[in-house]
Amino acid sequence: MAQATDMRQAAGTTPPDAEDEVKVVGIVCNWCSYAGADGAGTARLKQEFEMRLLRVPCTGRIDPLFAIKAFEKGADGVLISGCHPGDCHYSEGNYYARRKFELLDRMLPFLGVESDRFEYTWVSASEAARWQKVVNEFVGKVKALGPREGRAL
Amino acid sequence: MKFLAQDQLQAFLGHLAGESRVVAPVKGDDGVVLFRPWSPGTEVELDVLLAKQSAKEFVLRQSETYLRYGYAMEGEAAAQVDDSHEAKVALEDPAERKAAQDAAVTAHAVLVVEPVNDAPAQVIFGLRPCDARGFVQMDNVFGGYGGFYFDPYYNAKREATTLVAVTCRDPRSTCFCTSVQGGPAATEGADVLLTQVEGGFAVEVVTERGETLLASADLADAGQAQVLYAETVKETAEARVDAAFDLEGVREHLRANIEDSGWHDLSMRCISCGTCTYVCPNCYCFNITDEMVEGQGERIRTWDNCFNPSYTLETSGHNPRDIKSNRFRNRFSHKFWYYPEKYDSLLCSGCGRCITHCPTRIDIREVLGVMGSERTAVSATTPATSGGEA
Amino acid sequence: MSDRQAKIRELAGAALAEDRVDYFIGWKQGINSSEAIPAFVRNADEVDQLVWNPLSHHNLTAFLKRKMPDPPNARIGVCVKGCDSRTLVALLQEDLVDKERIYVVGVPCDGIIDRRRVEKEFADEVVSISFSGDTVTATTRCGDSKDFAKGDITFDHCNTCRYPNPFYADDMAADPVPEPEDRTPMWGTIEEFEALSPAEKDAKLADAFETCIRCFACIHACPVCVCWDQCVNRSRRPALVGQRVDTKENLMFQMVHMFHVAGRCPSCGACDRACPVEIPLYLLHRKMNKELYDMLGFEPGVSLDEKPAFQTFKLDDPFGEH
Repeated sequence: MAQATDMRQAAGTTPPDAEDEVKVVGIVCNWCSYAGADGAGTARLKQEFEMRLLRVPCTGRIDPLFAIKAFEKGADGVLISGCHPGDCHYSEGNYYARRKFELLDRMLPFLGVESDRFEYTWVSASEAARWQKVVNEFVGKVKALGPREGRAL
Repeated sequence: MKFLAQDQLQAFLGHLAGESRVVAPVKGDDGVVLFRPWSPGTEVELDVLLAKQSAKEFVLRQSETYLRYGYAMEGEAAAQVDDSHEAKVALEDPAERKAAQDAAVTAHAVLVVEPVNDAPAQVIFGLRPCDARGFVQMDNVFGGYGGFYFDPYYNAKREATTLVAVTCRDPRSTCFCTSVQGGPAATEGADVLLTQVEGGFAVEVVTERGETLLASADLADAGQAQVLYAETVKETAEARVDAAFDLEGVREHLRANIEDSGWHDLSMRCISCGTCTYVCPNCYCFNITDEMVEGQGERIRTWDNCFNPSYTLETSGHNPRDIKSNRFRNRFSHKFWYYPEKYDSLLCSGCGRCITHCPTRIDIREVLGVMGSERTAVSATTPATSGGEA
Repeated sequence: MSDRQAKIRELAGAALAEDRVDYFIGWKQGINSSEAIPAFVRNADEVDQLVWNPLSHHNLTAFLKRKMPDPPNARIGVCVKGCDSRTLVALLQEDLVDKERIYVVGVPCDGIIDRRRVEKEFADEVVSISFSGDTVTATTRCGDSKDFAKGDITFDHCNTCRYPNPFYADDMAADPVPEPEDRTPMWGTIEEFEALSPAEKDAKLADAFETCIRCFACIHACPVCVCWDQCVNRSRRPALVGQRVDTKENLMFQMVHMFHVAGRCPSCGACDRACPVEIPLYLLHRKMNKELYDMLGFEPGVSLDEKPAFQTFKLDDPFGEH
């Protein structure tokens, strides 16, 4: 924790007050977006710190309930990212997944979660710069909304 | 007998609330009546006979924390198990590293356990005699056998709870308390019994605890007319509860009919949910789960029910009640056979919630009427249905 | 109405007499005339208990799903309304019911009464409901009685129903009733909820799910929720849903149900009607179907040849290109 704070100060991204800190969960596929994030790190592309990544084999593995569970357990934003349609390592996992995420995206506002708190997108292994942009934009939007305090979700 | 005027009710509840939490049947915005913590100004709903759920939840909580646990580092070594950046840099010095390694050998995580048993004083107001009696029947289980199975969680709450019951004025067609040794004005389990009379309630003290509760309430004595009125209300109510079945021999017949194919027929329309057991003031089965996140956890007790496919599922994978009709049978056999055998009482107080709340209206009276009676020429018309799946 | 009842009895009687089915599932009167309940008939001479009236709300296809038939390989006759047939079609699309073992009697439907709405009009118990044309008369145990116009007390989804006739049936209990020409779905009451702010929605959901007792009635009454003993809601590991019964876990519990029946659930409302504490589950399931329709033009259970929305995909699905 101490180390993380140091690094935040070095990066100039320390939030003004730790209480306002948002928690953002990223669920990414092993083959594209995780590799892309890795590439962004290797290239030292500065990113918002609030993102915590979970790696799964394929976006096809991601049940919409993972995102709901994250919100239930206190996440302030959830980002899902995988291979671009057409580029799935397993050919079609992300095509199946896309339908599920779209439904989730449309249901969350109905459950009292602002639509800016959830996003699904595609980042390939070679798109380190895009990953940086996606993360910074998404976390920025979640930060603008601030921490959530849902009673139901 | 005392008298509580209708317009004094709020003040009376407010008085009780000064000493403890008050729980009462309250109608929600959606028209659903449930027992909820009462706050001043909230109207108590006594016109609707039964709240959707019994009041059991406030003593045998649907989820209850037994204890919290987690790991902590103990001893001087604890300081060394510091994975901060500074600590790691320090370990580059060979001498320091040696010291840290030595310390690490003696460092150990200890399990820290913190028992939890919150039992604030509470008054449950406005429950019916059948609900009050449900607690007496659960008492046998959680404190029975001379305390051998004494359950500290249940009993702490039970002891902190005072029950103010209200006589049923208009029993429903699904009420059958009189068939199971109870009645719409029965006092078993209640500490105080109120009866709605003209302009208010006739108040009867049943137990010492009830007396203590009312001691400071400063209620007037009931007049002769009110006492008579209350008697009439009770008698009328009693007469309105239909006789449902004859208890005589039910236990023996359930035992004799355990393998009867009638259980398959009766359970056909059962969807194997747990509604009947969860709304029941008597059903008490529970489950224990450890829920842990990052080394910190809680041991919780939650309600369970015999319709749950994993009920009595053994570690081997075998389940002695593996099909729906077996689990269905258990509910009725437990209430009218095993429990009576152990405690010489019934595990049913006749509120009828299991009938009105069942999604397919399975009627306990019908089940007992069929299976709790002598059955001859069994299944002449029914194909043998053994070997079913769940 | 009584024509359909007579025809159901006739068809059920024939199927039982000719030993085409082991038992026949229809509706019969419950404790009194104010309600109808599922009926299981084993003998041709017992078919006279079968009824058909606007109280026959149970979706009987729930009794066809895995682990419900007793014995498991039973040949079953079953009555379906329009909405029930959609759940049956959804089950058949995924081979979750053996077509060879069922005999389906389709019943064209004029709308079902929301008995709970009637119940709430009285403090006393409703013991009788009778019908005369479009007038419904409810009587309580004390003898109070009230007339309702049928349209006022039918379920919301019946008022906006576009598929009153069964899609799939071996025999029909009557000629099809007239269907609306315009099949564009209407979503009724959910718009009211959609208009609320996120905080208001959260508060409403929290109030509703606070009272959930996790009895599994919604899940077991649901004809297309089929995991039964393997339901992840019961699972300790993975612990997707905590066993603690509190507002958040209760909503999570329902989310499992909702997302796992997406693409199969036609919002028949069986879960809503089964809920003992009257949580408006129907809102959630209906919203899900609205969005599915917007996304894909998909309606669950309307064609045997179609695959459920989440078991297939199109390369050019009109979303998620970013």
